[in-house]
Amino acid sequence: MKKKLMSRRKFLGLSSSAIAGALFGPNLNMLTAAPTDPFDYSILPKGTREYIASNCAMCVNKCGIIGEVVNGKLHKINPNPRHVKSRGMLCAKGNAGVSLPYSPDRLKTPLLRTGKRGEGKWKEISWDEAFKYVAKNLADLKQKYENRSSVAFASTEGFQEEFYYYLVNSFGSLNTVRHTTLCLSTNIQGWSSVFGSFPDADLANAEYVLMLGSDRAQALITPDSVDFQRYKPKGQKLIVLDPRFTETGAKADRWYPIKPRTDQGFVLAMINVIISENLYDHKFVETYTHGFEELKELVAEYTPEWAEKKCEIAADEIRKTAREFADHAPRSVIYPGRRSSFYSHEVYVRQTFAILAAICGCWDTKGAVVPKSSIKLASHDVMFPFFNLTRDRVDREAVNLVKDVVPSAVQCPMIGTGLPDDSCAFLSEKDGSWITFREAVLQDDPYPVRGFFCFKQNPVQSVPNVKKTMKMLEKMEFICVIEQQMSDTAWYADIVLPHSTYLESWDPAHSIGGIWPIVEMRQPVIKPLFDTKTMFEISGGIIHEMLKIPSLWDDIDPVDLVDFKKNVVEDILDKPIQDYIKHQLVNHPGAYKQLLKEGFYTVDGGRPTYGKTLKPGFRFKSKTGKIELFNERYKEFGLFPLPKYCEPEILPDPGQYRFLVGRTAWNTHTSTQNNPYLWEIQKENAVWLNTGEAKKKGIVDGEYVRIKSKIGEQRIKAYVTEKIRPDCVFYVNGWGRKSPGMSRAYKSGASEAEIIDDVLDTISGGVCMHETFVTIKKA
Amino acid sequence: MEMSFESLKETIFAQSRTLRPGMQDKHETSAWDKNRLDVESALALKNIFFYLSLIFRYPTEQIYSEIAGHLEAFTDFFTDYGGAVPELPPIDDLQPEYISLFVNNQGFVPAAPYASCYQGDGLLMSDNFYRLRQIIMESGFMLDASVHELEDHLAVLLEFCSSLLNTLVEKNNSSDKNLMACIYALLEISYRYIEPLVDDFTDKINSYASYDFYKVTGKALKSLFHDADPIYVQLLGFRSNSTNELQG
Amino acid sequence: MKNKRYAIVLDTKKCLNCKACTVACKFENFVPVGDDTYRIWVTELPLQGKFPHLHQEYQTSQCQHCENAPCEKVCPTKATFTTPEGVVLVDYKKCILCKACMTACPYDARFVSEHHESVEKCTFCMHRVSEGREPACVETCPVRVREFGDLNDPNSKVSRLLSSRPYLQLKPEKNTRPRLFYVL
Ligand code: SF4
Ligand code: SF4
Ligand code: SF4
Ligand code: SF4
Repeated sequence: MKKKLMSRRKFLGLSSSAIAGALFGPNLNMLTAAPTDPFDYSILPKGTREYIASNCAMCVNKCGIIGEVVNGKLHKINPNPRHVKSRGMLCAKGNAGVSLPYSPDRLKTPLLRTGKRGEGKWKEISWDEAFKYVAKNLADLKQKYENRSSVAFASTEGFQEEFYYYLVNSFGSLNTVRHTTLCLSTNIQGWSSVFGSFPDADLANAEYVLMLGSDRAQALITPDSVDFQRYKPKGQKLIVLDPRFTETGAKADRWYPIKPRTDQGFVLAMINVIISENLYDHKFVETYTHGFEELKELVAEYTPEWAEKKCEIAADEIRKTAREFADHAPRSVIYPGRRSSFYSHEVYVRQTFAILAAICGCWDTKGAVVPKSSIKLASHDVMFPFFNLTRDRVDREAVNLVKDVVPSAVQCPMIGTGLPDDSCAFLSEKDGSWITFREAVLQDDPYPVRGFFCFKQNPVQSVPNVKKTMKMLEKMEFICVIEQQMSDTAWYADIVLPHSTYLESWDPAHSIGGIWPIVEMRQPVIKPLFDTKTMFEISGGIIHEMLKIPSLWDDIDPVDLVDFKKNVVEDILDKPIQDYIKHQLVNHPGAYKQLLKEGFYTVDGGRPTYGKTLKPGFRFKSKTGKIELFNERYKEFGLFPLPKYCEPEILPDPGQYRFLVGRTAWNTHTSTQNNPYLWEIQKENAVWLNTGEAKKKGIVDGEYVRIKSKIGEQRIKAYVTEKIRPDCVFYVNGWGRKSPGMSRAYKSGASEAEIIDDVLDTISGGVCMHETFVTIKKA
Repeated sequence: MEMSFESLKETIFAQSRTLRPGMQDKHETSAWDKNRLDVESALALKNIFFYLSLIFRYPTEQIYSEIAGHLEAFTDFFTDYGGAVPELPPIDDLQPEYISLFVNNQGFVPAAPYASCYQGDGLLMSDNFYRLRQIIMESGFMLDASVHELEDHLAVLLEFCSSLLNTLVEKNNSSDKNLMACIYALLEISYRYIEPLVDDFTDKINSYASYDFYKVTGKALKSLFHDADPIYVQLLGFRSNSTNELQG
Repeated sequence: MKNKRYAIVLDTKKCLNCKACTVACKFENFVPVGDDTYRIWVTELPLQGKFPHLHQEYQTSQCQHCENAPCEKVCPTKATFTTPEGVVLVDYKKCILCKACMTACPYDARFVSEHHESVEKCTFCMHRVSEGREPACVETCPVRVREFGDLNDPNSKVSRLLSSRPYLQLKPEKNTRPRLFYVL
């Protein structure tokens, strides 16, 4: 019976060559005998349910989470209801974090490029091989260029970034670029120019809130996005100024569709009203501020009638808003927000905001703008060797580089305001400036940069003018990317190192400043699924290999090397990370236990403290030690010290629209679109186009259009709506990725990096995402 | 009472998708006489499973030379099930091909070789995963500590099936109950984990592969599992309702 | 002892349209990924007014746990039933996928789930509630649009909200007596 088979199954027969011919070699089995027989059931995760506290890492907010792990698998991420900063909420992305470790798309093992860059030919290598390869390339570059700064290190914020800097400092490059200049550097600079620091807003207690260009209902920031609705005091007024009717605008008592790039004019006119009608806080101004008379003189011409022409908001409305703001002071907030990478004069915009708060005394008191407090952690006294072959940052040494990225320097009316056109005035040591950095690398000025490390940053998608970024990558002789997913940038790397997800790793304690300061830490919610490592382990691995190469240490004092081996390598990197964390917390008894249990730690039950900066003898971080309405350091630098109104330098051609970009609550920049649970909410982005404009062009809602700037062109669906002014268009960022592979985001919608022009804010080195003009045509 | 092949399959699928009670309680009613095993066919299938397991692993030098060295022996199998004898590209081409199909492509993986990805929301470690881990352990196996893979990787599943067939052939003195457990495991892996994967998996290979190697071997895998019913009926000597006609 | 009467009270004016609730429910309740499979949804109500005087609200909804539930009445196998607390549930094992309930429900709250091999819908997260936890959608919401609780307890948040604020119910003309209350 058995022999009467269909011919297809002839391999089953006696004569099958598959029997005799297959004597496989030894050691090929992936499975081995289980340890016990009869089987020990206790090692199976049978019907277990555990709750493990940690923090979300799907965006910067780091909300408190409690992972619900059923039978060893993460079933659900619950919000931590006791968390002081996130107030017990968890957004769509935070919830969808469950799928991150379980994404088949994630990087699983170190990969080494074998084909051409970007061709997609890789081979697997072991971590040992990877560490050796990286160390060797670092040594080669150091040898060849005799300058450690010839290797640049990009990174994005996150708890493990601390350990990335162990690698950076062990190699000795000064060229680091962080995401700050793509995001909030202008905001930090502008507010600090007045108050010496970048504050938070006490939305839970404010009576009057003025938000310009922040969409807190969609671009979620904790606790603000919670507080402005959940805890809003009875009768709190919300005034929103935005060229778009955002979800936040929909919550406002009044929404003003302000003309883009004129926010400063609106606030200057408010200041004008408040001063001329004598509504400012005399006592506060007298006690704490410097330069009021100069300010008064400056704003005299900025009447509401003047501003009406700039902002296209009626003078009476401006007057009303100014009076209301002063009326509710000090419980009035002009909202600092977060991302401010908008315009080339953005620092002055933020300075103007801060000055409004200052003259009304809306500072460091309940319901006002309040400086951040923070809980101090013990730091490890690590001394990295001093390397002789290290040159200063490219974006600092470079002079005259930036003329290409500063709007029409020659006829620039900004020169009048003293904005530099050669470099950035206040470059942050660690953050650098993406745009300037890239220009310097492209021009080999002042020296060649030929190595590029990238830790969880994706400049190909996130830095405006992708063509230049690609050119920069082409110049590199060595590119190493440390990532969770094969990002667009990783795709062009020579070696890709897979990082564990935040749900699988121990992350160091991290102090997060704010009105409600906390300390956070991460512990693994689940075991790593693949052969991935954390930056702590990766830095350790690479540094150990570096130590085997003598040429990497020939430009330092040999004594330094001995110390380095002892203090950095043996005492920190070779020890369990828990030791590191416990040391961070030595001054806080019980904190480690509390962090294991709750994922966060507070002092004093996390209650806010107001008024520290108002105590007698307090010195603000400014030249005069006061709140500077007139900035003395700006004056020294040749910058205009007051927030003089900055007219736009780049103007649209007829038929062009100003391009605006923003976020939704269910995607974080470029990293989340491929998550099935988020993708189902939004499958592509669409360009917002005002109804009247669409009608003129015969464009109907839902049809595809071409959007074109001087940088590039994208195809995208039109969303025809009354919710946007006629002079601008908008889409959310992070779509239309390069990767054919971001299977879901690919070719769905448009990318902003492909069309946004690389315009630089020359005070903080920030990018200006809203200085690009586009045309729209039917596709 | 003798169970038909179809009712055996039904019993397997009637069980929950998550963890199951210990093996012991389960197989009281079924009985199987080892004499019914078609030993030669079992050996042949065992080798084919193992060979396919090698093919769907990352081709290190060792694996590559095993694949190359034994291709000859499986000519018949590939001709019948894959429609051709696969042409093995040089290792320097096969490695990137493997990565770009099964490990990481630009932002995604075209043909994830994990059973879980073909069930539910398409993510790893879906509902069935712990059940699989349990089946493997209860059959006396576990992943070698050096292997950084999930148990539902196609190569692990195929190797596991191969090992189960080996147990059936070799364990002469085992009780019926143990052997029956082996058969349950074999069928469950084949039908609950591998079969639901093969169609989609091979489609994806076909649309993303640069070489024919994985197209042909994928097709062979797919046809083999489409043909699993009559193969198992014949091999295990079960009474069958629907596959009778095939046996003539 | 008096029975509990569970209800959800919503203040949708606060809703950010952030979709946290919909994603949380999907993971909590094994709701498959897909455009037609959901227990809870957030709708952008039509934009009102003309530029620049615009107004828009977001309305979130889910199964209304009707006291007079049409879905329960039409179910031929009694798979749909109401618990003593007034929670309308489906016994997945009894469901024969006839979809009569899907047609009968005036709120479009039901769908076919591959995971449960049954028609299903919001359960008020009874598996969590029985452990003293809040429903997933209630818990995760940044602005706490929903409160969940016992109408028979005059001190519960739901009772206090309903006694202090006017409210609406959806499709009152259907006489379904929903357990979802929308405060104004
Ligand atoms: S806002 Fe959302 S994504 Fe960001 S940390 Fe909080 S839960 Fe995570
Ligand atoms: S809303 Fe629909 S599904 Fe829910 S109880 Fe009412 S009729 Fe039934
Ligand atoms: S109560 Fe539970 S089941 Fe119902 S919508 Fe909310 S999360 Fe989903
Ligand atoms: S979670 Fe809350 S705010 Fe967000 S969409 Fe749902 S109901 Fe609205």
